[in-house]
Amino acid sequence: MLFAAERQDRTAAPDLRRESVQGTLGRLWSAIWTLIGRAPAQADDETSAPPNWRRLAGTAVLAGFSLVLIAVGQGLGRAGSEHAAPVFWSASLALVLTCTYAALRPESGRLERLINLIVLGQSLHLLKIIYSPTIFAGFDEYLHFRTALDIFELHALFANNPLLPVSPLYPGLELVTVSMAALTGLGIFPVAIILVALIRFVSVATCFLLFEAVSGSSRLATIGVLVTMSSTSFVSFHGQYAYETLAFAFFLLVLYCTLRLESATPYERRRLAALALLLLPAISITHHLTSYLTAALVTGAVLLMVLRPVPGQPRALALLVAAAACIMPPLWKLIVSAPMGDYVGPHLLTAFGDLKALLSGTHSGRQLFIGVDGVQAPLVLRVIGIMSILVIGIGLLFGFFRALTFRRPGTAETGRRFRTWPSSAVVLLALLGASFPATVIFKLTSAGWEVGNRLGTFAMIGAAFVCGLSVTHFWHQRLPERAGRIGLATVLSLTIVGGMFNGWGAALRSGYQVAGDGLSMEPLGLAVAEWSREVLGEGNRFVADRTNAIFASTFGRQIVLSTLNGDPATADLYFGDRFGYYERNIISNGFVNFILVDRRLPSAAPKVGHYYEPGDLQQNEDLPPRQRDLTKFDHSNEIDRVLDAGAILVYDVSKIRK
Amino acid sequence: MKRIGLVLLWAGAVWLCAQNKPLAPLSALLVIPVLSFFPGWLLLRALRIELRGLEILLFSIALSWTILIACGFALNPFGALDETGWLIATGGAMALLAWLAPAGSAKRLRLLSYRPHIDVIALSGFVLALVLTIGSVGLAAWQEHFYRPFEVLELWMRLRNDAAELRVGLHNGDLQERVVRLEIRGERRLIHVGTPMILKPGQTVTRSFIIPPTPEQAPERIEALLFDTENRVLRRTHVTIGDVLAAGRIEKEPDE
Repeated sequence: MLFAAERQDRTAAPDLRRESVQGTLGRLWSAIWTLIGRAPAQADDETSAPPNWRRLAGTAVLAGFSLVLIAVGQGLGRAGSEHAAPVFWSASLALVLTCTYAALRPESGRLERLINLIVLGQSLHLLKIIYSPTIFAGFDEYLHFRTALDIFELHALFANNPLLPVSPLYPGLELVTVSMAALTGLGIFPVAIILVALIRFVSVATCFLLFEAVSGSSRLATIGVLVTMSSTSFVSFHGQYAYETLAFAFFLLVLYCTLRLESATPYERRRLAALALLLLPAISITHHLTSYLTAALVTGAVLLMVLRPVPGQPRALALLVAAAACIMPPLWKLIVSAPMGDYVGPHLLTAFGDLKALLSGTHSGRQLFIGVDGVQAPLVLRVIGIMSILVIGIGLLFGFFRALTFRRPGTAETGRRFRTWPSSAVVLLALLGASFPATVIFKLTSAGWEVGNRLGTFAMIGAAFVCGLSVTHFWHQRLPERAGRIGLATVLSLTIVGGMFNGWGAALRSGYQVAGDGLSMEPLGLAVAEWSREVLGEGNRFVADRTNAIFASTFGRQIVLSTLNGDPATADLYFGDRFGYYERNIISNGFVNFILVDRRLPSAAPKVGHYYEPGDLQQNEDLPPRQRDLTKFDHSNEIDRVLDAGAILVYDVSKIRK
Repeated sequence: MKRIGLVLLWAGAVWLCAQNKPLAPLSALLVIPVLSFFPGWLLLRALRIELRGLEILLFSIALSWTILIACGFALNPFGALDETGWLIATGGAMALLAWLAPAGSAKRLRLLSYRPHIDVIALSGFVLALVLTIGSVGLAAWQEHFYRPFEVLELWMRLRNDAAELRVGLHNGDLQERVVRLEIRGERRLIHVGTPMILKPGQTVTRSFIIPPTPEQAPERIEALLFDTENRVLRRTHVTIGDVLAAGRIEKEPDE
């Protein structure tokens, strides 16, 4: 008996051990699942409460004070004061914190939350206006300004834009601007800033409606929109006058229509599909990349709806919307013969090449927070910048699996026969959010930064929803009431300010900087461009550095030579003190009339990485042109110095061209 | 008919504002809010698409943009993307949509489900916020007006069609007036010596000079120099008159 019992114990021991291991693993998995996956159905927000107007007015007043301080900070920055950065960044943080805290108050109704978000969105737009209140400050803005001016002055579409030949082929934004400018008599710039403010309003409100419709929670939607605002492109890239800004608003509306198809009534589905079909052509005409990404995301959503084995899915309407989304971008490309492959292809190839090099360790990647001129950002801002990425990463970790199993409160659970994902809309947002880390890796590379920044904006929509879900369904229950709210508002505010810093490092003005886009724009360059139009007439073929080229192209209405337009590279004209065959050939082949020389360029390294054309600095051993390189044109009898404006000279080289 | 009448009234008012310069600011108030909302709203009505609350506002704005884009494409073949063309196209589109929209059944646009009650304190707060916001932009514009890191003083020189006539221009783009003196020189000859002149802020001065030919008829570099009151050269431009090279001839590269 004893032996039998011992034998039984010996055979039972491994089973017990296995059970014990399984138990431990089970408990471990249960603990992990509690952390990252369990999603108690809840909607812990009061949505019907009317807004407290006094509270809203208080928030608006505090935001107004912050904006005044921001303007003071910008003034100090121009004057070169060391107090500029603390004043500017503290005021920016105060502005964001005020609106964020007000939007997150538990007693706020949905309208109050939404108004707070709109106040914050518009305030962040005002940040750009305060940066440059009378002219555009972004390089890209001038590319579209030129297209708008062409339509406005030539009364025709598709005029050649040498700085960005693809821009006139996608004239949606410019047509809206020109229609209003023509009828109001205002210039392009005032209409553009009003239009961008409207676009910002539509984007913020649509994002809120989208998250709210999918989740059924205005609190989650508020947090989601706040996280969206922490995108590197929210303040600067999507706050600028460029075609993607308008196309992104259209994209959000189409996404809203598509994702709502699933939960809508049959009548609502028809009207949502009709709205999507009306807006899809507008995206295709406005921006190429956005139209292709819209097609991809709409198709993804529709696939999820079609594959979901649940009766009553809006398959036919969804397929119709997806078909339209997929057909329209290539159709428009075909109609206008847009050279998309030549334009986008090289960017993508270089970006993937850089990414491969980074992952294989053969390239160390981009130096973060250090400009080409070697200036490093302050430590506090670097920490906030990194923190803003980490916060989103943490949000994704705690929200991704919850999103996959998320069920909108009030929706019925499907029967056992149809065990499937509860919501195709949420799954699409979760998968979109999961792609966000990949865009961050792109941003670590030199050439892939732009690709990461563009795609990151779209991935951020998904990431923001997942982060919102992680707060409402995980963090909220673990944080004490008041302290948790203050902590959440602070973290989100720092994330937004960090995102703004990551995307727009030069948000604070300084004195004149060499090749620094907005920081290089000052009255002298503007006066020279206006002089060229007045004295030389329009349509001369001009060669100039990056900043003066955009001024000459827009205010000067000149044809600036650009390799994007098939013109010969002209940077070599400025390097070297000899003026020989090579330089003459560039002038002859490019049919150059005038060369603009900016004598300030040798004083510093270029802020954006090049003086004239991408790669010029690297081709010349990272050395700027010398003063004697720039004044070599004075020694030729065939070249006339037709303008001396001190720091800027203009040479007439028409005799060589002949 | 009432809606079509309103559209025609709007178009007439915009046209009137465009004809009278003093009314120009009014046209911004007439055009931007109307064109940003009504075309889209009328399209929604015409298509019998009923939306709720904020959705109406958002889709009306987006569809208005879509209609403006469509109007632009409609005008382009006629080369009519000017003020009149836009007025006819937008007014026509809105009139057509107003005619297509079902009459009488338009629900009042309601963004709120209740009547908002805004008290005086809240209203004063919003007014103060608006003043602060406008003030911040005004302050930024004022700072930008005075931001002049480099002096804006331009001297230019161009040969007119007749190669013997030289046109010289001066522009003071700074905020202070300047006293300058202009001098025109040829090779080994002084063509013009000007007296000191005051350039007021924003002032542009142009002068024409007939250059007397040299006995040799050789190419000559003509220089314009701008001096300050202490006879320091501020600006210098030059043009060469006479044929320097025959067309198509390539100068020999100098030996290293």
